[in-house]
Amino acid sequence: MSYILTVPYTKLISLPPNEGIMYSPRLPTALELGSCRTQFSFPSVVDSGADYCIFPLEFGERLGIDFKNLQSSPASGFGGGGHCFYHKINVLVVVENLGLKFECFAGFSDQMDKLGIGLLGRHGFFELFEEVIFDQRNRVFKLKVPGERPINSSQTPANSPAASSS
Amino acid sequence: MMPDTKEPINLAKLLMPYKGKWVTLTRDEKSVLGAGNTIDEALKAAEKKGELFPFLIKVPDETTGAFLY
Repeated sequence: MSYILTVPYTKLISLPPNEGIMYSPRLPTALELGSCRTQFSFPSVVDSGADYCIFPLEFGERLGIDFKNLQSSPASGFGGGGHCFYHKINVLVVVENLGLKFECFAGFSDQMDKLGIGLLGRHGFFELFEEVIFDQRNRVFKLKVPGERPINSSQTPANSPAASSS
Repeated sequence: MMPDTKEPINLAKLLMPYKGKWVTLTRDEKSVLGAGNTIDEALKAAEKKGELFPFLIKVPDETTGAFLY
């Protein structure tokens, strides 16, 4: 048994001189480490090209992660690349009024500070779903979630690392 | 039965005046609560309006990105 969550793309307008329009698959996101949670939600791009979920370094610092004691790894793909620090955290995303929470090793990069957005990558996020469909023509993306659609507004998908570790 | 398609969210017009700023929006992402050069400034502006868990975005300028929001 499974159910499908359908999410509209976010409309973006480019700066002059192009002034073009682009539609982007994004979800409101918050981060949690122990009892500490970001005091805000922020947009994250659903990115099938990202191996990991990646977030601004500043957001990790706000969770109390001490990056000075972590080893960084080279990364590429956003803003010309850079270095990422990895740390296990909980990620919360809101889809169709459902709160999905999962645990993952996420990357933190100061390159993402300039953008202020997150990337929801294959490790952690895509693993939650049976299928992720990008319907570019209709400007929606669809997440096929295993299990029965919950009645309440918050859930942890049955196959998520967060569910298996609790 | 849920519809297959929905209207995309359009924040572009709303955010045009805030290039380069951190901006806090209401949770439904329809109204601006405040803006600042730092995250703390933007959060403080939201708090003054009674929102303790706003939606936070960085609006790019010409140097940081091509697309608004």
